Amino acid sequence: MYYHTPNTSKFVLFIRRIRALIIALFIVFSIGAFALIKPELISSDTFFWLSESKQFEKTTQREYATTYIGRLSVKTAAFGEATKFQLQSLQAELENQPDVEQVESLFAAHMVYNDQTSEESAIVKALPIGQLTAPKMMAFVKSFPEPYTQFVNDNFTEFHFIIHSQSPIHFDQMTIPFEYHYSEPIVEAELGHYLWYVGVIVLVIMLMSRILFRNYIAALGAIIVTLLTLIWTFSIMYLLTGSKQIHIAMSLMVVSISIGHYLYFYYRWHVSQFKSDPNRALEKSINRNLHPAVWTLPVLILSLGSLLFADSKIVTMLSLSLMVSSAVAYIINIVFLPALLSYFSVSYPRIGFARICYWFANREIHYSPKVLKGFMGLTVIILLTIVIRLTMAPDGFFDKHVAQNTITLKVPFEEIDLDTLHKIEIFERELRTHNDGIEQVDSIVTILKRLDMANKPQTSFDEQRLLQALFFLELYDLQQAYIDKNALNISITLHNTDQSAVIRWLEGYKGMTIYFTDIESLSESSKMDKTLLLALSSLSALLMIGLIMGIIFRSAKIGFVGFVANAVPIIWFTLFMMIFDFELSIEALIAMTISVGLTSDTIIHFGYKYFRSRYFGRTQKHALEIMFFYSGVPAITSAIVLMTVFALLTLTQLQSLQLIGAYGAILMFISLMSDLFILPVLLLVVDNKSIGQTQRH
Amino acid sequence: MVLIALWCFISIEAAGKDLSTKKMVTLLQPIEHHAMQYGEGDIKVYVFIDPKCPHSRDFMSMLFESPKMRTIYRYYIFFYELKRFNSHALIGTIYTAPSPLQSMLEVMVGKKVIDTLPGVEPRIEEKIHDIERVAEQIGVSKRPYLIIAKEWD
Repeated sequence: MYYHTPNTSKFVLFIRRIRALIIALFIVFSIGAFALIKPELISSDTFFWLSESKQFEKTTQREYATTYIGRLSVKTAAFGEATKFQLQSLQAELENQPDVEQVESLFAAHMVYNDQTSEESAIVKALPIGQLTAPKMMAFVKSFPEPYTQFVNDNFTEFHFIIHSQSPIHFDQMTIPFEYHYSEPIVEAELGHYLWYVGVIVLVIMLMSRILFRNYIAALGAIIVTLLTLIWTFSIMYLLTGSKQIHIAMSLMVVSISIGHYLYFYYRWHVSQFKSDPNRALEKSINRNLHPAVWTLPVLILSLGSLLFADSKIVTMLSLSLMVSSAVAYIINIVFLPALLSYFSVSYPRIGFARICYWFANREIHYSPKVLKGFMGLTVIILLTIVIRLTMAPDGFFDKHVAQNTITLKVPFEEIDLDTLHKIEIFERELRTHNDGIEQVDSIVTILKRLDMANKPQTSFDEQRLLQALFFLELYDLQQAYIDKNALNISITLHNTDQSAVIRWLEGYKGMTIYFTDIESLSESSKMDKTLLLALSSLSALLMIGLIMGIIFRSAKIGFVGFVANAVPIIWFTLFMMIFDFELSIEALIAMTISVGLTSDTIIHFGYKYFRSRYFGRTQKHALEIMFFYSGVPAITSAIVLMTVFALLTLTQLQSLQLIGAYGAILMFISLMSDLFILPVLLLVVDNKSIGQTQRH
Repeated sequence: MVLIALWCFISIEAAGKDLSTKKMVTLLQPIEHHAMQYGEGDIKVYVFIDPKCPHSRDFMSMLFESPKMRTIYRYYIFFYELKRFNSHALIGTIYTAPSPLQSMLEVMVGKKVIDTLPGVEPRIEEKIHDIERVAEQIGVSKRPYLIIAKEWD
């Protein structure tokens, strides 16, 4: 129980005696594990989403190739012959890149027209637009802009190249003689991204150490403990799952847990040297944190354990990394850290910043029950709104607004006949009717209609006109983009719309069998499949945390506090996502998981300190002061450190890290506010009505 | 009676301009032996051309340069004169040649200028007439004019 102080004297003495051996063993084992396993950091979550995508399974069963689609936009000053030549060269260079299958652009498009000397003497022609002179190109596109709006703007100053490839394209080796922007759904991390990521963490830890603790010992300890936690966590995960691939954002989750745990141990050692010698401080660091730190493990394991059996690799990997890192961090902090810290002592054990704790305690002891009730009522209303929205429109959480994007589909066929074309025409019509932002639908129908109209038909569209259009399609070699051996290709260009809504509509379309082939759509469809699972997983994790905390503190009310304190940040963050129309992505999930991990740690540490002080006869105010001083400061410090790290990550070029940085910083801020203003008040409420009085006597 | 006669006339006229592929192929099959066959594909393409029409020449050049198009399709090429080109004598001369296909390719693709014969043999005239008759029935309005038969035709 929280009022027991474990006797750790012998343990600390033992650690101090063999400290060199402990440090050496930890370092040697860690280097060995890293060298043997070589965990592979990946920055794209596509691998995870695709592995559980039903649409991906359907597409691969049919043996259709999947493609990455990127969009290169270049800006030119004025369009003349020289610019045209440069853009044509760029087209050729893009087409020659490894794994590139197709590059759609104005320079790959054809001008389909009727070449005639009289009404009686004429033939359909398809001329590559690039063969026209620059002025003629502009004149032609301005006369017939519709098929080309996705490739060039009205004044011919911005050109777009839509690149279909088997793997993401790298532009490092290419020379693009224009100002350009490349947007792609999946951005792989490069060395620079990793260096920035590591650099930011190290810098913030150093600053924290210098500003708060006025030394470098805190930074040294934090960096070594975090490194060891990372290596051990990923090694254990490899042994458990056999997977070497670790999402870069998961490493961030481990860093957060590690720093969170570390600060409780280090801080206690640091401030205890105000009255005690370093050895006694070391003992206090262990015996005051041993219980709350160990309680975080069953809380996490039991609450997130059920997620290990979820039919989703992402959910499994997230929950596993949180559990494993928490256990690893615990072992490192009670074995390795004391061995390391035993070599040091601090000259300035005072923490000036800790004065803020007395301000919090003074203010919160006089909390207003009305304000608390009002806040909780508002939170319940938000929760109900979320539940209603989740029930009525579960897919709404995956809304993904895109400025410009392409979805590619394949439609199996046996023969290109009128019936097949009719089905595709109906599909296009219904797609446009039921969805906003469909800029263009490019299919075999589009090109056949253009060839047919160029033939100046005098009869209604019939089988003969179709056969003739197909003849010209082959004559001018235009079929590659539209027909595969056993499937017709359809390309849908979206403009300023919700891509996930279009994908949902396509998934439910019954008029003909369609297969998604672009990686982004396949990945998106998989995310949507997991909506209910993720929502239920989060809810069950919160309930379990509350239940286990209730068991640990032997009070249903504290269990309720545990549930509420964990749920409040998630509920308000979900409201934030709804208001700003952010989609539920792996980045948001990781941010939520980190929040659950850190908040449950904070609740346990706060609860432990508060009720322990109350048990030993402290007044509510004094108990609050002790709680804030010993647990509040490390909680605030770790939140500020992690918020700074996460906020700085938004400056990277890597989309995945940008998102997790933004979501993480926001969620951590909300969690910190909840920990500082809601959790202590809830503990006071519970104390007034039960534990406080009963346990004291 | 007048209305019925008028309806029949309209129907016949319409059929002549908007025939089904099957109907056109049925009309063309009896004169297949008059055609110059080019290509080895499974799909038959009946082509009406004028040897002096620049677009017919363009079309024949594209076929000549595309082995793929000759592998997929088999062309039945008919000369059907465009009056403004005054190509009757040239048509007669090519048809009279020992290998009309070879001669046609030399003239239309190779741009070879050949001396036309002073007169056209009656059997050739008959051939030209047969082709004209079917072309009119089908409603061939321009050159080159394609009629593509499906594989099963």
